[in-house]
Amino acid sequence: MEKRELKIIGGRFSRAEALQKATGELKFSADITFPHMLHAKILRSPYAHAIVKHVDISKALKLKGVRAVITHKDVPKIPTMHQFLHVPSHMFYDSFLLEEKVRHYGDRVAAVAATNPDIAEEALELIEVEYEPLSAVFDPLEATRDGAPVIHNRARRGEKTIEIKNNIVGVREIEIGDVEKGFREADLIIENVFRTSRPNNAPLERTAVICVPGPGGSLDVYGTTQGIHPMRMNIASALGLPLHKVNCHRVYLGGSFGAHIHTGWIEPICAFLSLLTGKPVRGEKTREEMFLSCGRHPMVMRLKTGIKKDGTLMAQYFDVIDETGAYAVSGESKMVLAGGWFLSMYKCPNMKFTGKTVYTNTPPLTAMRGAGNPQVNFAVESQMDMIAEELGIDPVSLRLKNHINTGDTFYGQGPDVVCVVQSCGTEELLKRGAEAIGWNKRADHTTDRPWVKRGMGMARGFHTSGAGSPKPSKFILDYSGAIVKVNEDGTAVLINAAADTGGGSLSTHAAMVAEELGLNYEDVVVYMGDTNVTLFDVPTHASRGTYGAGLAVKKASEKAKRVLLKWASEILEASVEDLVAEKGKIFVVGNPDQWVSIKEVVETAQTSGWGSVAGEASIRPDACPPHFTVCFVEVEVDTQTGLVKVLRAVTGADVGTPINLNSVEGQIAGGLHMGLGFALLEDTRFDEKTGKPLNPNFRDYKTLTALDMPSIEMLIADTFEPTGPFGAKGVGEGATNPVAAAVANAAYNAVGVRIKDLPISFEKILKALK
Amino acid sequence: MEVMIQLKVNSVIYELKIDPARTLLQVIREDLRLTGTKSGCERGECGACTVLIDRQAVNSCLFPVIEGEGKEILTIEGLARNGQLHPLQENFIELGAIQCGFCTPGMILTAKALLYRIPHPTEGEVRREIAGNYCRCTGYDKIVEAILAAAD
Repeated sequence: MEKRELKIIGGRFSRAEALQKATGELKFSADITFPHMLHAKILRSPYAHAIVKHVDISKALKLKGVRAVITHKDVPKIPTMHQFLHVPSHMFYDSFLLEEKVRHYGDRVAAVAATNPDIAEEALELIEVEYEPLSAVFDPLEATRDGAPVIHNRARRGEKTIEIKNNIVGVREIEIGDVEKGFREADLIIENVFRTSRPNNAPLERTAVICVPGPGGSLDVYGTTQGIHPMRMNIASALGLPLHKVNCHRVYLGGSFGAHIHTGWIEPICAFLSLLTGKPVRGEKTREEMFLSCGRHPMVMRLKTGIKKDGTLMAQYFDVIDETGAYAVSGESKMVLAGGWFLSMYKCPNMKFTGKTVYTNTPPLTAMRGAGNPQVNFAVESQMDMIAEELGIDPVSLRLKNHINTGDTFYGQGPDVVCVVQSCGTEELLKRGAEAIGWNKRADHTTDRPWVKRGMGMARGFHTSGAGSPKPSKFILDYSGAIVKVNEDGTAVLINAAADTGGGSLSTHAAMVAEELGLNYEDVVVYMGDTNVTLFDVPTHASRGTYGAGLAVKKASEKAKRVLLKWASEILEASVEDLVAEKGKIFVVGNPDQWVSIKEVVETAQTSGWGSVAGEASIRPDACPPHFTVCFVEVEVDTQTGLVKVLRAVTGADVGTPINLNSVEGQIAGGLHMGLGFALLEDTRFDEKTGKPLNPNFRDYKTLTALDMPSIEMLIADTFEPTGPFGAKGVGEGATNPVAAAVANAAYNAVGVRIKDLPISFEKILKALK
Repeated sequence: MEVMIQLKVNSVIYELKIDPARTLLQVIREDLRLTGTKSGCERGECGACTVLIDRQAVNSCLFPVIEGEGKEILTIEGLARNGQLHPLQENFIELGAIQCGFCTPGMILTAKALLYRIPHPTEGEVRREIAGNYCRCTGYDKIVEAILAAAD
């Protein structure tokens, strides 16, 4: 794809749906209602590990307003599928809709459908459960020891049953070159163990779903999901329904950050209840339930690096213990991804990765912005900083010397998804970032209060744009479809299934349609659509909204355009090659008086019986170009309280062509916010004995408020991705990955304290200062 | 035991028969079908449910609906007049301060309450005012910018 002059893309424009969001008109899943709707509530286990010996639902059934009560006995004996992202032979199944054995505090025992939520809540209390508590394990290292409580005996991968031993979901080992040789050739060997915490995605929207039964055993579903097609596959599979009987409708999301890549249990539970009762059934998670349903995998990482005196990397060995909670919604994929991110950070001839994914009796973890990369980056970029100090090399120079660059190999979703980097703005970002933060002043730690020290730190990172690769991957699906048609009034309609969780993907797609067809941005309608009318798309994840889903939108637009130009050429009696479309008109190049409006072309086609203007495309990207990012921060550390305050941040991203600068900047700032939370504040905690969540609410789960945010300066690199639609790449996850290490490095610079386990709390700083 | 109450919301008077234990948020969303006001936490910790009651920002999820009688209640749906957007709405749209949009109604109304009291706030005053409004998408920068721009 060559660069060309763009009219809409590359500037700033207001998002198509922003008006409806500003007036409160736009309906999210929880805003949708149907007449005679029932409300579902789930009875959740007070034990972290127990057998459900007996459930007596008789009293609950007698309560006025209760229409159905179900337990594990009533639901299909079909293991539930969660993440229709993996090829079927790789899909992981380890749960049922309702469980006979509960594996975490809050695990699903029974469900109620009632005429209002209060009655449903009351009915839960009337369900009598006899539990046989089992001993539980909360630490991933403890969980793999012989004699530890067995959380799962077996699971299914594809069609095969696999035995689970020592609570290990899966293991992986990769070696490139010869690390032992590489370590022998190194001048310096440095080894550290890093631990990351357990933040929650915490989108402001609480998951909601309505399942509406229709004629002939059909089901319409409106719910919070990053993929309507995967959701359909998941629900149909879990309930044993034919696929075409389930129709999932696209709805905008109120944030997600990976929480809705998979379909959980609430959706098929509501679907089951709606078919059982013959009524629409609505389920909405409480905020506490949100804290029980998603989160970033904590990882214990051992990183050993061998390096030459001049800063050349010789060998790296990275071992990951990846904790997945009580259910492995995506199998061991986060650990496998971590392997790929590690391999893609720096040029190094000898690299080894080992990893295992482990169950614990804590709520199931999921994808969360970065999918293994925030964890890996924290370890790798903290260690690079330590190496720089040891060798007496400037940290920025060390990155410049070793970073993955154009022409290098990149692993987009673990070691099986490989492509070659074709655009890289890292060098530009590192240099501009250092300049902007005042990197040469970082030896000065004085502030106006002698007990407060100033410091600066930096880190670099990246993330993939989708999961494409030259050959189809053996384990992950990555393709998108789109249909574009032009109405008789000269407006266009985009019909696709990609999700907009807040990043602006749909308005980006509308801009692509407008740019390609030569329409004004306002003349493109984004149709919400459903699984019946749209072509298949995978969940919108891995920062693939602009890149992956966008490629299909652009291609479909190109096809529609060809039809338009062919008919315009007949009307104008000119050759197709001489025509150009802009602002709703088709002109003959060099002849501004010879034009026809797009509206007139379509009207003429209609009245002459030529046909309709439409284009469809289904694209599997054959690359997964990384978007590169940097983060420089200036902090103040109060040595009396241990508090780290981030004063300034300079963050930069290489996104290829930015489609809408407002959206790119929004993602960068949002990624910074989430990264700072990961660095300093966010962690879900559990009682050591009972596994009960200690902070499942916004009062005790701390995030940065508007008052806590630093001043932000943003840099956008000047690059062009040849494989991307209009030269674009993603940005959503890269924006968050390097932040935690930058903060850890800044704290070290300020007060000489190296924190290797997140979050960097004030207690840890104080303890280390003593 | 249901009671009759009268609520004035967005200058419209509603006569309602409701359970007095319900919150203003529940009644706005479920009985009045005004779903622009969002429910993020049901505990007054996120600000998504912010409405104005006599020009003051209130977490409607904690506000007993019967206390709303005799008061002027403003929700996001009442902000635009005759199709004309409020400057806060215009600036939020124009300056890219809306991403997922879930926090937007609460943010805009909180900002409106501030502008009633302080027509030309400083950045610090804006940040302090919206510190009780949780946003997970934007990092707050463009929101602050939009509020300051609307104040001008």
